[in-house]
Amino acid sequence: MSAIPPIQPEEVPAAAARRSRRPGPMLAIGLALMGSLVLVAVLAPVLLDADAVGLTDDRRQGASGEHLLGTDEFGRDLFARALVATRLTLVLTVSATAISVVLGVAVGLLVWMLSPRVRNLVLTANAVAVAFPALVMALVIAAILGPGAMSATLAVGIAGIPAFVRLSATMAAPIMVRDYVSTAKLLNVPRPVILVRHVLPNLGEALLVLSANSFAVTLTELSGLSFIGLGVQNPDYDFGRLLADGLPNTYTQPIQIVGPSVMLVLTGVAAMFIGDGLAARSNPRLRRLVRGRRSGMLHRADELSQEMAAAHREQGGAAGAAALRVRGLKVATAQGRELVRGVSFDVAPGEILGLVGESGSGKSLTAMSAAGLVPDGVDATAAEVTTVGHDLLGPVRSGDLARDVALIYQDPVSTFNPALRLENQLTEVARVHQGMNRRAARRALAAEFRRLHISEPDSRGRQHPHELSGGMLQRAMIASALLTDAKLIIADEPTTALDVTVQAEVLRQFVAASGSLGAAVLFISHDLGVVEALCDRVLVMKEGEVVEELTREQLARGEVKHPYTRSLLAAAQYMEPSAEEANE
Amino acid sequence: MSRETADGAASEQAVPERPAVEVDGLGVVLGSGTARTEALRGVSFTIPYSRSVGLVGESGSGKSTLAKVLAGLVPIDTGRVVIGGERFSAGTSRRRRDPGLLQLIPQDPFSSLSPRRTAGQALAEAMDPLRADARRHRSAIEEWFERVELPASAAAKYPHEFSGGQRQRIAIARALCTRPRIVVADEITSALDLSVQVEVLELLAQLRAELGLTMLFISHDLAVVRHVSDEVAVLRSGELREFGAVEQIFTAPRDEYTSRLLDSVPGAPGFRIRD
Repeated sequence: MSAIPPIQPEEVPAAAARRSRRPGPMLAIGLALMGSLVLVAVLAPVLLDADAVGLTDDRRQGASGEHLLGTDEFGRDLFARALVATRLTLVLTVSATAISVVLGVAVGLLVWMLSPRVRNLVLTANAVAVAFPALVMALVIAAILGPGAMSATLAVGIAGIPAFVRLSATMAAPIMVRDYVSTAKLLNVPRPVILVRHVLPNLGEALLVLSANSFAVTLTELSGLSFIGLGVQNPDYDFGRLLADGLPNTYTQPIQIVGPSVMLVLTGVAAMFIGDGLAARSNPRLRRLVRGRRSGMLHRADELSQEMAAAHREQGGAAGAAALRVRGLKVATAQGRELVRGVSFDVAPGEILGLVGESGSGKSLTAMSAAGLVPDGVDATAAEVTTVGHDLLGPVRSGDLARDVALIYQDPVSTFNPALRLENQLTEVARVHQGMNRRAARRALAAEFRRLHISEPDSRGRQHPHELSGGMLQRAMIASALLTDAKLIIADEPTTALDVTVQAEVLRQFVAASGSLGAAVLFISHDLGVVEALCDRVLVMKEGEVVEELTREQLARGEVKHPYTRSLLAAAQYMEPSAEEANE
Repeated sequence: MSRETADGAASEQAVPERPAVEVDGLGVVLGSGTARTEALRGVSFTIPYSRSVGLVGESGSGKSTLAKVLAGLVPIDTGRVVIGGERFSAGTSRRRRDPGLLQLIPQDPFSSLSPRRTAGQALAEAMDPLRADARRHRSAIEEWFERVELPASAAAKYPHEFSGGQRQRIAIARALCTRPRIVVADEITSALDLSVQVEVLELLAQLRAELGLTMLFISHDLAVVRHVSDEVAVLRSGELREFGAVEQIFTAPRDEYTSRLLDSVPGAPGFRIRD
């Protein structure tokens, strides 16, 4: 065992993966706005109460320096009233939202203590309650309890419960089947403790976002109830009540409704901004889109490396001979972390080139860049990427590339659209880019299926992806590559998700594809055994660099020089005593 | 392996005569209606104490279902399972089980640890399910981290701060710190890089010897199973195809399916992809 030098676990890209502590601009604006509103709610009733409720003789005045928004029919300052109303509005809205969230989440989690049958019954009943309009329900409750601030708050709060029951029960469902919950059950952790310890914290972020948005809805509903006279009653007043007071005078003194309207909008916008800001923060992908970073592009390297590339070119001979030619490929994250550090290689027509490395070695990024596919959030530069004669650093007609390059991914199930028949997906390139008609494409596909010894070749195409096994889907992908006469097949761990007995069959198809048709294959794998059996030549990658290039014979004989390759080989041999026996 | 049951045999060492795990005519049906599938059919085998049985099978063979049955997460339809003398069958109510009886190490190191709880808290939960207070069990937690070759500082870190191999070490520590006599490891290395697999398997072998564990090691990877098992069970479509000593299975398989499985491994003598 001591023969195997320990390989350091790859560094977890903490900075990239974790959300930044700095709030985004949207969240910052929302928080600042809400902060000032809270400040107003605290201070205004203390400082402006006299102006807001004191009856004066300055009745129905327009805006002036003394009364910014004028006065009402009792001579009360409308600006002061709008500010003072903030406290009651916020208190009522927060209370109603709290009722919805706390009770809704409690019920939504507690249903997971019930037997499946009872749980379904409760959730179905709840679904009916969700379908019932919340405002109508609030009206009914307010009518029963009698008009008043308390009953309006209860009504809106209770009306909001079913939505949160459904949300939290639904969001808890995938967590309940997670391994850490099963493990906790095995450890005899009581159900309620599991819910509080494991489920609730993992809902936290989503619930926060939803609560902020629910706050905005609750605000309009409560104001609506006050507006129609079922909510806050005189002499108390919130935004809705102020709007109702101002409405009769809309034509004579329209300025009366300006104060409460503006305050309502500001409060709603603050809540929405906080909600959206939190959502963006909890979803790093969304945040990146918001930031609008340039990414996912393959660029030509700067001049210096172009000179190097020119040197490379002279060394390497004519570019036309290779199916794929990559020079000086570099891939880095937007934060500047280098994932691929200057990789150069060729794949000749008919050759199967293996790209081996452990996770994080950059092998997939290298291969995908060769097809012009660079994932979001990283930048790829190269001195040269010539794929089947197309210079990927310049403008390329995507149709040509789609015809000449075929991609086969690791997970066959997610590669296909489950809603479409196989033939529609597999013949798409042939039909769209090569102008083949539907019937001819179908017949050609069946011929390829037959060539690959796929059973029932004539009816396969009519099937949907879920009707085929994973191995069959991968073979269908290879058939599709053959159909368009692809010159280069890029396969990213195509057999990793397959059973060993199926893997052998799929590997045979790769050999057939490259041998009889002259297609070049770039085959990515972590499995040295597979690569040794399949590939003519192997590149070993580590931390974004090619550390060694080997022929199949060298790999089979164990003639490797680089310590990293040696450690990989040692690990494989450690696992595989049969390999040594076979060599003897 | 003796299948004799000498109940109450007054052995000084109190080593039970019965095997640690007896699976007898086990049948499990999953789903109902059109989705109804027989996941396991008449499966029988035994695991003696302190031995390791490897369970090999391809997808859909029912190997994970078997693990869940042993852990009590899936109900039994026919037959019975006896674990450490405790009998479980179709009628057995899903009562609470002693965590010291059997523990399961789950497959996916990413879903087996809650993203909101530190590694220390994960272990504390195993030691004290109700309170799960990492501070009260600090020395025990650090001792276990040392056992699985993680630094003591790991206790305060969250799962995303670890690599896959490190997470699997935490999952192993969590399963073993309840001192179970029997451990079921369900594909625990399949998500890891080869070199990390080797490290985890080495660690497991070491802990098994140290703690005298009985183990059921489930994997689709024949090489891994060969490495850790005394006996091997080959499962296909819910049926046990072959059960025997590891050397016999790998050098002289009796079942046609076992041979095919062995020949499919790249590098095996019977492996051919070029004509």
